Amino acid sequence: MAKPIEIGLVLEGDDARRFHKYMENPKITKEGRELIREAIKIAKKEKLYV
Amino acid sequence: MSNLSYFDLFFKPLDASCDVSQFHSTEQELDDFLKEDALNNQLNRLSVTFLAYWNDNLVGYFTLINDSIVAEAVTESDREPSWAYRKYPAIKIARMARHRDFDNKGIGTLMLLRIFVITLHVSQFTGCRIITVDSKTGAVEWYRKKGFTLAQMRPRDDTVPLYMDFHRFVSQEDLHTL
Repeated sequence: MAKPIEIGLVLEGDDARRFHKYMENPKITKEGRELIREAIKIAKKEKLYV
Repeated sequence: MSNLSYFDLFFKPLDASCDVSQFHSTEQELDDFLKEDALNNQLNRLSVTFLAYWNDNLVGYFTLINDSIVAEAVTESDREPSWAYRKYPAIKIARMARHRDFDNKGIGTLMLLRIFVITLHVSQFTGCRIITVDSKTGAVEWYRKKGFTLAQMRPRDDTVPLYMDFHRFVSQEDLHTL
């Protein structure tokens, strides 16, 4: 049996603070943004997202 | 050979008819999961695995589950008023692997694109604001290039968690695609 899948990510201390700051003003790379843009187009074309 | 396009791949949910015995990635643990655990997990709805095919070749797979992020140990005194939520629902990329014989074709990126499409679809029916991933150490930079952010400065395991505020970026991009 392979390693079980872990569910639930618990962030503590500085990791938690960094997460809250990120959620206030999240940053994404150009490549990530382009990928999301393409996903939206595909999902709409396949009528999976309106 | 140059990169494939999204529509070159065919994605299929794993079922008992799928032969995964010849799948070999560069990570034994990822191969073991697919061959030993993925189907049982699928039948019990503990996770859902999709297989990616190109020209009838099994070139990759990914496994998704529901997840959550809990930001603990932020005391009320250092909590900003804008930190409205301590817990966020998420979809997790629990496993993702590419066949080792199909390198440099952009298959990982196309699988991630498919995951984004699935998340867009699912997000209309249930809350899943964030996408999380447990990355193998060697794939961390790849995920960062795709827009994910490191969740822990000192990961406690041999996998490294990352997250992406998917909904926020979709909201921003959706305005441009209307």
